[in-house]
Amino acid sequence: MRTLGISILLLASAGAGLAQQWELGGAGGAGFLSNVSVSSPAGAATAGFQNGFAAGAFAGQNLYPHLSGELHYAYLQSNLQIKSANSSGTFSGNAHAIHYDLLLHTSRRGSRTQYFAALGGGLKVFRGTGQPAAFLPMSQFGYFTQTQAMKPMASVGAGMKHSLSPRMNLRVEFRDYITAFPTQLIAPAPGAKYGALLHDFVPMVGVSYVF
Amino acid sequence: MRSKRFLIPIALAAALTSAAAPATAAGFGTVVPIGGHASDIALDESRGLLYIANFTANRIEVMSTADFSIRSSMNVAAQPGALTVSPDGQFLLIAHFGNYTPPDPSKNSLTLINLNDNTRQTFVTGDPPLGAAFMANGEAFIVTTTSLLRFDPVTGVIRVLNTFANLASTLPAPLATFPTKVIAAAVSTSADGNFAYGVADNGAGQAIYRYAIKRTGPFSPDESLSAIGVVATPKPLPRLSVAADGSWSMVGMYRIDAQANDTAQFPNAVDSVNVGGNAIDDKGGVIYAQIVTANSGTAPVLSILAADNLTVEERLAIPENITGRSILDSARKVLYTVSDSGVMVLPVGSLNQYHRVAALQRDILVSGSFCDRRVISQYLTVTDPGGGHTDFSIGSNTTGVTISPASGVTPATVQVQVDPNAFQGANGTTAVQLQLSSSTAVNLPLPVRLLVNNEDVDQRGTVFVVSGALADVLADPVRSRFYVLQQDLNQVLVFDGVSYAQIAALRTSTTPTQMAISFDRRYLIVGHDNSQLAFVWDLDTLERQAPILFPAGHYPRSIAASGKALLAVARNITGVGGPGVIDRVDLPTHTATQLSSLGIYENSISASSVLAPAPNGGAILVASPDGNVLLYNANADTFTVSRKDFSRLGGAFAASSYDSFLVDNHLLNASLVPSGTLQSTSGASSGFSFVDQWGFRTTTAAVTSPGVMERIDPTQSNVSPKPSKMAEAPLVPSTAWPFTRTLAPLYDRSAIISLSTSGFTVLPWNYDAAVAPPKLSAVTNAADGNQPVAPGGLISVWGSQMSPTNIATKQIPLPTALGSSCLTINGVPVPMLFVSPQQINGQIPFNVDGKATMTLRTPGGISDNFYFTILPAAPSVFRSGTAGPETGLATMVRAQNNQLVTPTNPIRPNDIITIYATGLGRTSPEVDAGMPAPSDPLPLAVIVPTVTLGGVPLDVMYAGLAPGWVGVYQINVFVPGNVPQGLSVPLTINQGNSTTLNVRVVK
Repeated sequence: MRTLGISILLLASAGAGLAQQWELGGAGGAGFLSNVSVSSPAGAATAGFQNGFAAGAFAGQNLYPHLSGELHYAYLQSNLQIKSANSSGTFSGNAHAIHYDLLLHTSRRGSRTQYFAALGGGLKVFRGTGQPAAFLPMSQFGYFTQTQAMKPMASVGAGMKHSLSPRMNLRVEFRDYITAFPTQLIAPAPGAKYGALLHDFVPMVGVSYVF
Repeated sequence: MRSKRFLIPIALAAALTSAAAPATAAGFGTVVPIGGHASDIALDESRGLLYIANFTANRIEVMSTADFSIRSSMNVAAQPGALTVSPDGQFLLIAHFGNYTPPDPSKNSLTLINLNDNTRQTFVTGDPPLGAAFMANGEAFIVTTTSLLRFDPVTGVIRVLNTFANLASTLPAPLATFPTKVIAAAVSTSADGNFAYGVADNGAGQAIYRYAIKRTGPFSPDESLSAIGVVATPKPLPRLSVAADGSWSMVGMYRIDAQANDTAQFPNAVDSVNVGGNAIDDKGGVIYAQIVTANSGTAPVLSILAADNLTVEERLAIPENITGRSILDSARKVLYTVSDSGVMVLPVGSLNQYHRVAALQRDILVSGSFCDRRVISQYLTVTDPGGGHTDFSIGSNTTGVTISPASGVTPATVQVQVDPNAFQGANGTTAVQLQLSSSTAVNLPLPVRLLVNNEDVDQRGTVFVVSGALADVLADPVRSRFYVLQQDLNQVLVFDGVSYAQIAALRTSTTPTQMAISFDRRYLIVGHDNSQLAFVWDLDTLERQAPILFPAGHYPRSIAASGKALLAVARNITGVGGPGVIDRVDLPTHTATQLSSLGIYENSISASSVLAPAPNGGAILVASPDGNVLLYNANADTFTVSRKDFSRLGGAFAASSYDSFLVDNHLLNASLVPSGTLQSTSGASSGFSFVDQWGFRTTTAAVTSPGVMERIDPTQSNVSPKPSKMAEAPLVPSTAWPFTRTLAPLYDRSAIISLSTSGFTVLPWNYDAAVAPPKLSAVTNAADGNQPVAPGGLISVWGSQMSPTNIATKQIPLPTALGSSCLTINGVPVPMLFVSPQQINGQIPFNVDGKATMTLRTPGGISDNFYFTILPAAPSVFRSGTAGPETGLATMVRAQNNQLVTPTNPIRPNDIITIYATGLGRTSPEVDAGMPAPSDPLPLAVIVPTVTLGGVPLDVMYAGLAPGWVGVYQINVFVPGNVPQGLSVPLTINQGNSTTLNVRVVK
């Protein structure tokens, strides 16, 4: 009976625009990273990353009428940064995020517009790409480092898909990538204490091909 | 150069007539004989030819510039005296000097040869043409014996620009008279052909012309002609070259600007019958010249002079004398000159392809001391400036000086060994000349001055080497600086008043004589013996300002500022006034004018007179070697005293702010009446400087001492100074310069600078104070300040009364007596880098270890013994690194980026790290203490260190002395991939004794 039900659903959706099984797409946007607080003998500061552009790709599979799964990759341009009241220092950097999310859609497959909530997890690779030097600014709070660090990541988000044509979707979404702060890239100076969690808020707009 | 100037606008030129009468070793190069006497040359670069006027054979020789062969000869009319090629290369214009007795005006002519078709035209000038030069507009500027002409080669029209009295010499001439002596004139143009300069000599004086066909300013005409008549002493030959932009020219030994001001003249030049010539290389900033001087000798020499102030940069032996025009080709590679045999070709642009030899150091100082009488070694580098391998020999006949090797091939390092015992009887510093020579070098290398100082315990001061002839010293009254005049190199050296290090060099004009600071303390003014200009610098920016122009024929030798007037003693060759006159300087307008009188006195003094300003601006003392003294009173703005109480005067001269004056050994009161006489038994007067109501005085070397310094209080009726012997003798007066200013107390009263044999000597302000004996309290290594020390390591010795003043030295080898301090370990002298009252930095000799005893000798006495232990090895890493605002960093460098290892530049696997340390002990081969480590062979540490990072052994690639450094070792290590990472990973160097520091490691 179950098998029959699914077959009926597949048949029913064959002629509808959003009734396909697979979806491939790309998106672009920006990353807005929150900073962690720094307390040190030298004073108070914040450490984290500068805002930067983001781009990514995704491949999704419709699992159920209201549920789909997606594998996401995002490249995030995010320079390292330490700011105090009077000064700041930066160091070139970027990040790669790869994660799998489950999307819970508010309307059934085939609807012209679908809203969704996403929840998933993956890995984020932070990379410090600036040139090491005997002196870099803000070293009283932390040390910018040319290295990379991989962190487990939680992904939370929401968005909207809108059908532009039978095989083309417009997609607007928002993600919060949550990781531990990568102290390998900004190593706390002796005596400095850093906040633990880093949020990377990434709004993106993209298109996808469904088949 | 004396001159009377007149500008002749071209519009008026034709109307003017005779009113413009002149009021005034190995050989370098190839000689091309022409079988006659050359009178002029012209270069035709488009055809690769040099045209040579063969004056006596009536030919134009055509020489190939490719192989310097005479390809053909053009027979022309009699006595071709001058040549010029048109800018487009179409015409060759020849001026024929036909001034025969009896006269035959038809022989005075121009031959115009069209070089494209070899057609010729002849134009009779009437008067003998002396010189010719094509201008950029295609016309030729011609000087005859009576006029200046413009000649259009296309139309053949000759236009008179100006006429003047007859310059003519007549033919026939006496035997052995060169054509250029007969013609006695020359014309040259700037590279763009817009400006022509001419010089003509009528036997009594010279006329210098400047003809411009280009507007040079908003109010200048399109075409202008100016002229000046001079009676120059010494007399310039008519050898003329013009700067590319036409702004100045070189006339014989004179550098003349567009307004005919004598901006520089070659020192010690003398009249020459026929030898001499010059060519300006603007782009290279040099002048090639042969100028006959009083001590030239007979061998022909080409000098390469700095274009701005005629400083001699190089001297080259050439095959024969230059006797006429010199032309540099447009590539600035080949210089063609008229010479004795005809023409000489000098490949000046290829100098680096010829053998030359020079010593990198002009002076080397060898300091013996009262606690070290061992043989001292110094090293001299002999090189070929072109980088070639050139044979050389170097020698000295002085006993006690050994040179090894005494000959060789460049580049080479020569060891100069001096036995101080051979100089034990000498007072102060003995200067020994080391003569450098080469059989193949084309240059004439300068000798090296070996300075041997043998300071005794009762001698005061620290010697600093400054090369050259030093003529004056002046302390800045508001800045912590002092200024030293380096006369032979034409520059003012600016020294820091704390470190005594040179911080700037200000280029002057030729032969600077004396400095002055304006009364507002803003400007430094320098007078010259061989320039009509006094140079001015803003002392805040050290930027040169517009120079002060003195009247023609006035050479400002001595300058002084009062509160009212800025006065200068000028050597005066105009014949108006005495041999020396006093000019008043108007600094805002940068001009000077001769005072009509000195108050009620004639403005006629000795040219060697000097001025001494009172610091409060109230007066200026004038002292003359003939015994005359005068006083300018600023309040009255005139000269109020003139006396002659002495038959001669010389040596020191000074004025105080309290109506006291000093000249020679004589104290003078406010009316310049002698009020006291200073002792002369210790030597002749050299330097004196008032400080408030008293003064410092130095006297020159005598049998008993190398010169002494004493404090003088002129207000005391009984002058009873306490002389102190100096480390070396102050400079002595000479016949040419009878007065000397050799003493400059610094404004902050920290030290006194005395110009002395080697350069200058610094004496602490309290040089004569009673000094307590020194005390030693600790010895640490100089790297991290901890106590383990080892042979060859750099150390800091701590205590009190260790030196009367702070002195750091860059002298190599390091001196074993610095200032007045002498440190020994187990009786072995310690080379020192720095001395101060509380700290001495030095190097432990390599041959002492174990239980050690240190003693220090100073003018205050000898310290108690200080006992400490010298370990075989005691590595310690320097903490002297800096990065941004960070200081005190360990001196470990990542080869990857050549920056210090820090938390932001962490160590990574596969890095090569260089660690700079001291205390690694003896080396193989051994290196003498105080000497920099050689680079070949490298001196390896006998006890090889192990280095670990986080417990992981690192590959030690090198451990030994750092080449070029004294007492500094370096350890090069390779970091393997298995080192642990972390923010604080221990790096340990172990040589039996170990040192550890924490570093950041990142993968």
